[in-house]
Amino acid sequence: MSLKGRLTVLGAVASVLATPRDAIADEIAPQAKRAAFTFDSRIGYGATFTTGQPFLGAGTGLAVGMTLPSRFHFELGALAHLGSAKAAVGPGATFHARYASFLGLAGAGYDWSLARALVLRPSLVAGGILIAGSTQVGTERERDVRPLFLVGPSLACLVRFGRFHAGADASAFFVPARVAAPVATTYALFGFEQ
Amino acid sequence: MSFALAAATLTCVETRPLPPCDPSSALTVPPRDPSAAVVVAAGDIADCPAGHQDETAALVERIAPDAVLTLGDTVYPNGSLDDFLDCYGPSWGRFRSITRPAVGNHDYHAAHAGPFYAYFCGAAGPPFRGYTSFDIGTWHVVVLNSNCGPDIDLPEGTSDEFGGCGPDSPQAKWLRDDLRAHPNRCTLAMMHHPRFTSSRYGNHPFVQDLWSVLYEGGVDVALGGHAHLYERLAPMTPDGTIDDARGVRSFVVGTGGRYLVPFGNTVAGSERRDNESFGVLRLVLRPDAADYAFVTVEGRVIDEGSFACH
Repeated sequence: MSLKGRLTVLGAVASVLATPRDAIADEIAPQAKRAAFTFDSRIGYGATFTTGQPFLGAGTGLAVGMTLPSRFHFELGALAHLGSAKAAVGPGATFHARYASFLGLAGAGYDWSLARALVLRPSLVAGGILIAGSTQVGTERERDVRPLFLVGPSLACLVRFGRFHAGADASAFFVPARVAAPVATTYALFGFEQ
Repeated sequence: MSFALAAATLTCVETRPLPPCDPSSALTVPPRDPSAAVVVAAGDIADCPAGHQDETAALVERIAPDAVLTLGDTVYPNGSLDDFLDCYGPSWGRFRSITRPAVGNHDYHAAHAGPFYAYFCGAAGPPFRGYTSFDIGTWHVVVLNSNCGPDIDLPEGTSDEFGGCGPDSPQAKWLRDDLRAHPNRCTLAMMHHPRFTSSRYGNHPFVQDLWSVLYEGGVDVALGGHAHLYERLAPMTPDGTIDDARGVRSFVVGTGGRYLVPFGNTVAGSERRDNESFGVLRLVLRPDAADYAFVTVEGRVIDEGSFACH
């Protein structure tokens, strides 16, 4: 490349670097003039980092959100997870334990446009989980519903096509309770914006 | 709840085999010599793959006791069914038919300690209760549920499941009645949490009310685990005063296989301590006394002696 060509490239790079990031984002995805509401369906999987009986597993749910003109995004979600069942049988002995869970989550994030149709949304999410189920030993059964609080970061990657969007999100949650292990979830999501 | 049940029907369930269930906590085979019944005791046992449960199980096999008393935290880390069947089963599980267990806080990491009660079945007493009693030779043995304290490693609300350890709790009432109904010359109590220990975990005041019932009932010796070490303590009152005449002698035997822990402050009444060896406590229960020995997995006896019953 000639010296003139090199200077031209350097100049172009310098002008890009000198451009405010919001201005770049505006060129990629023009800033909305008013808040937009989003509706998502999710399907995915949750895991606890413990050798105990899983209470998440496969799950599905819905979320509604609102994206402000400033690109801050707020969301409420409700999800149900199938959990797991354990069973054992022997001469004179039986054991069944079944646990599933419900999650109610609230999140606050920021839509970071990487390209016109591609958005990364880092969020902070907090909420509650209700673990419901029963343990049966012989003919004796204990039923319970155990609530836990959880909080943690989440990252969603969305591809927009018109009013619709699809993508995935992954979250890691700290569970501040005795004998509680961290939780991770990942979902595929599909929704639309209004 | 209905969702949980519906969800479970959509979830694949692998049904695993359980060993045969003993109908009650009574030992089904009497000691070979009822005037000198040999029992071994230890807690804090199976922790695959890193634990020493295979070595302590081999030691138990060499001792060939009439009964095995497990002092809680049977499997680590979460009291799961798979850990009972795949880790405890191949090691200490071979003595299951002569084992009488106390439930520990790690057993409660699984909801309601369900796998513990399922695995030991009638040998652990009624499901979800954790206290029972039985006789061996001329001795009476009471098994208590000490999972009552503010332990960060115990799920909230655990003690509510079985009524706690208070002076008017169902367990304390049952214990008074049981001791009254079994006026044996010699009585042994076993529970997971020791009242006194020089371990870094310190003493456990939340079992003091149960200890009061033991003391008033003339119980001779109390076995505990939880602290991963061996310690022998003098006969003491529930508040920690040495009482050679009526006190409850105690042993801490948390050396069943899980890693060993450091000592903290030495408590009054501590007579012998070791935290360098995995091993078991061997007791020979005679009609009016007992011989004790702490035997390491290498076969060394690092503490031994005898005490008379009250």
